[in-house]
Amino acid sequence: MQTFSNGIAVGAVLFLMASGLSLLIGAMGVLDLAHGAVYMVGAYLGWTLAIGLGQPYPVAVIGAGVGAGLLGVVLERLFRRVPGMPDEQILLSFGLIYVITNVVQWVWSPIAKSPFDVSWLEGSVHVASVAIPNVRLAIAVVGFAVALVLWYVQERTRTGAIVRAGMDDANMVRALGIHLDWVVVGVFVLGSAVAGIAGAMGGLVLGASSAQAIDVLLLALVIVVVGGVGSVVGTFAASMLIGVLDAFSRSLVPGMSSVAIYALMALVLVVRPTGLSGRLAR
Amino acid sequence: MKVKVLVAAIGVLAVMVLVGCGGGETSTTASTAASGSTETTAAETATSAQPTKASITVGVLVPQTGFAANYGPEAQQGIDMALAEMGVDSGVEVKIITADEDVLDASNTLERLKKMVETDGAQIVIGPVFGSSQQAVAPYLTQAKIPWFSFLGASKDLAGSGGTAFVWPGADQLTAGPLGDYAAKTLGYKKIATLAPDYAYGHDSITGATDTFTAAGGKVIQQQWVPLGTTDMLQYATKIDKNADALLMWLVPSDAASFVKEYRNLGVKIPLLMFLGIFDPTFQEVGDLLVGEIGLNEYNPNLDNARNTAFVQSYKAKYNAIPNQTTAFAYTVMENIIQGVQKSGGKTSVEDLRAAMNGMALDTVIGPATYSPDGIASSNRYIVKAAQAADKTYIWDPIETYENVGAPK
Amino acid sequence: MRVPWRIRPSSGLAVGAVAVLFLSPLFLSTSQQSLVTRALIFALMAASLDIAYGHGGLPSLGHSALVGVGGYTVGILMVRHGVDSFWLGALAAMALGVVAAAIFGLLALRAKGIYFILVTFTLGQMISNLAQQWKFLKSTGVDAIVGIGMPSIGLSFEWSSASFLRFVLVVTVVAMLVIMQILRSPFGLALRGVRDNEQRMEALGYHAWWYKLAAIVVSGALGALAGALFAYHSGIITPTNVGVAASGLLVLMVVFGGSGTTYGPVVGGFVITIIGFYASELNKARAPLIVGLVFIATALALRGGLAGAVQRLVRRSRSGSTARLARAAATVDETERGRP
Repeated sequence: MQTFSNGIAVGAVLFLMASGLSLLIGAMGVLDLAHGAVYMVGAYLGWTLAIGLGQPYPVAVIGAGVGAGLLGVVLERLFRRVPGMPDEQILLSFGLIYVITNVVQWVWSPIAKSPFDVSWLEGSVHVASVAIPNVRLAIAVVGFAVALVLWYVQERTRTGAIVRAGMDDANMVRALGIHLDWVVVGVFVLGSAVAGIAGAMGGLVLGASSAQAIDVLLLALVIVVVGGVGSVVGTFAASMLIGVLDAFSRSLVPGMSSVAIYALMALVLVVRPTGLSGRLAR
Repeated sequence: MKVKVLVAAIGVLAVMVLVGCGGGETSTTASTAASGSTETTAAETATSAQPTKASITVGVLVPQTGFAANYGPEAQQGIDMALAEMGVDSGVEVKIITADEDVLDASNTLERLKKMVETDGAQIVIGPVFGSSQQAVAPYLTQAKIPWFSFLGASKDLAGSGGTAFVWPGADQLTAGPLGDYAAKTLGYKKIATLAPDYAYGHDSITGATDTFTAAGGKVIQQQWVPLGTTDMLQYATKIDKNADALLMWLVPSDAASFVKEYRNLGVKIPLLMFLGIFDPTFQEVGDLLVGEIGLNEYNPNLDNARNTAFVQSYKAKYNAIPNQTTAFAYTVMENIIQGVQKSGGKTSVEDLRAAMNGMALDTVIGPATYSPDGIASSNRYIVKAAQAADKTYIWDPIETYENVGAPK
Repeated sequence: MRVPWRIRPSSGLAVGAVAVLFLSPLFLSTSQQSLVTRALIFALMAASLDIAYGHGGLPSLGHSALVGVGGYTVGILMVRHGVDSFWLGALAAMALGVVAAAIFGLLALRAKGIYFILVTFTLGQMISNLAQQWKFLKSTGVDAIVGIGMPSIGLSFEWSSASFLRFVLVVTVVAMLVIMQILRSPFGLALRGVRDNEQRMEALGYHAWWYKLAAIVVSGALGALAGALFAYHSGIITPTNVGVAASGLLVLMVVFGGSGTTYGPVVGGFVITIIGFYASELNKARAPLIVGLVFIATALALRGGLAGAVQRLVRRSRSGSTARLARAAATVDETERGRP
């Protein structure tokens, strides 16, 4: 039971990491592999605001989201120059990872920041024999909130409808006289802002470090693959599944635990090549 | 427009790269001369005091990029300080060349080392720091008969008949020994659990402590190994065997901090035995959670000996901060190299240095130390207790000293 | 259509480059020779990746895993079983490379497009994690296979940095000729057909899936050969050599040089290895920044990598002569350089 709840707690962090990426790849068809770097910037911004400047934690989270969103605008300006070109997008992404990571080390020093100290989130809740740290509850709450917002925007608003239509046929949407460009900018900002919020929230348990650009990207990619791109529900389900599986594999097969989630991914692919949500990427 | 700017940027970069590339030898001699001159002015200007007897080239191979990018500048500070202090009277002129230890691709580190040795003429190497780099460069350095000083530990198998390493402050397999001994004999613990990363250094250091713990009659009831790339420590904090008297652990500082936070949030009360403690600045961020816990230090800025007091003071004067282990041990090893070369009469071969350093009584920042005939150091270890100092900073307060730790008996 | 076997300027340049490289030990220091050897090995890795990536339209971000199969194979054979013959080692490496690539392909080919990239990315990382945790893939007390020595090639002589450079050069050139022959063969034509229009090829009776799998397998076999050379040259192979960062670097080499072109990936692999080394000489702490800016600038300004830039230059200079030639060149460019 403890292992299961650990898994859900880890899954909530994973969902925050992956949902922005899923949106960008799914809705925009953009291979933004710099997403982990955006998460990392969010984590460092969160650290500066909450610890460096001593601001209240919600302010730090919002600040990290805004900062990452602005970074998203820059990314959009760059990625729009290489539309539908996976080669150039990969090259651009890795270039950005190199540059952002090095600049982050320059600005914040290469020494990793330990998990952020937020006094009102210390301690844990005990339900029967299961202990859940308060920070995990906070992350889960924010995770659910983000999931709801993303789901609502994508499935219930006109913007979401345009995005979904754009996923299927961008030319048709343009032909209808809709300014897809602004929608693209909006999605980029939203996806990046979610990564920034994820960084600041994740900072409560993971701190901030320059290794996160790649580490977070890897975890997020596994989840996007298992969940299927562009689906909030799929990403959510995959995050929980991977979180729980990871927790169990670490206690049951510690010697091979880091292989387990990838093995699950391979299995999902064999059964459902398009991931749990079944949406086909462009 | 934008495209032109970009093309111009590429042009500039290409020129920069070509300058580095085409010039090969010339540019490197220039850069070594430049870096060398800043270090060696002391020795050169002081030649009137004592004529220079020997001139050596030392290559420093420490990470400058990646997740451990802070090691390079920190080590450089220590080396600069040793040269500034000793340069005047040592009679050994030291030329320093540096290269980046690639923490992700050990084979790349090897390539940089080859240039350091074959083109730039390094006769002695300081570093590399990480296990995989050490394993990658050791066969080459053995073949090239170049001595290298690992200043933050190394496997004992890389010294003696296994290679040309000089290992400071002691072999990985033995350096943590006193912690297990102290846990069993002084603290009276009977059963401990362990937690460390699932790679060679984690296994080596933890095993060093469990060996002495079991030798003193204790029992290890649980061992958790954290796979590389693990970021989330919650699972490991909840899985600790509650029957353990203590948890013996080592993790890199940021992971250790994550772990300790989870541990405290969960309200686990089992005492900790922390190999190396947690280094600053991370320790200052989590110190309040650790007050009263026991650790084992190789270096500690609060050590009460004349060498260390002087070192910490002059570091403070120069950098306005407290030195850490990387700086202190780079300082120590640079000093040891000069002492060794002084005694060998300027010879830098592995055999000459081993002979010169064997049994030499060294007075270091961590107290008296010696090198074994194989080149492995024996030095003091300090049992420490986390505490808050009068100025509100957190310190590891030395409470007991173990002497002559590090070299196989 | 182009006339076969007329000596093209590119072929002339290639022959010249090989000649210069063969003579390079005469004017390079030993450590530079070692660096050039490394650059050649990475050039071969990039070229092997491009069989699937550029010509097959299968953008794999997990190629280092297949390279690693080769490296670990020769490493384990030499260190544990004392097999130091290059021929046996290379054969075993390629054989296991074929097996690994087939499994890789069976899984990854269930996905398409961007999804394929993600799947190969994660499969590659799985192999890297396996190397990190599985004792079989580690020397005692080390997280790598260490102590891999120079191979024997049946002649009795001592390797020097110059002779090993020449040896690696010969292997690379032979492998490149094989790759070029494969890509020029009916198989290669069909493969590019599948890449450009799968439905049409299926309608013409080609089984697209088999062509894709074959591309991955050939790519994996040659990648494993490059991995074997890497292990001999470095003396060590570690989980990070197999991991996602290493795979990403190979893709960067391919794309930087120009994917789906004859010489682009080889040049990309060579040049990026050299740039990476000397960027660190330029400024140790900021080297990744320099390399990253080069990548970003290449992505934005040089569509199609170095090869794309060269093709545009050639096209521009030809447009002065006859319009017909220019048009012909342009069509060749388009067909040569299709995109996944």
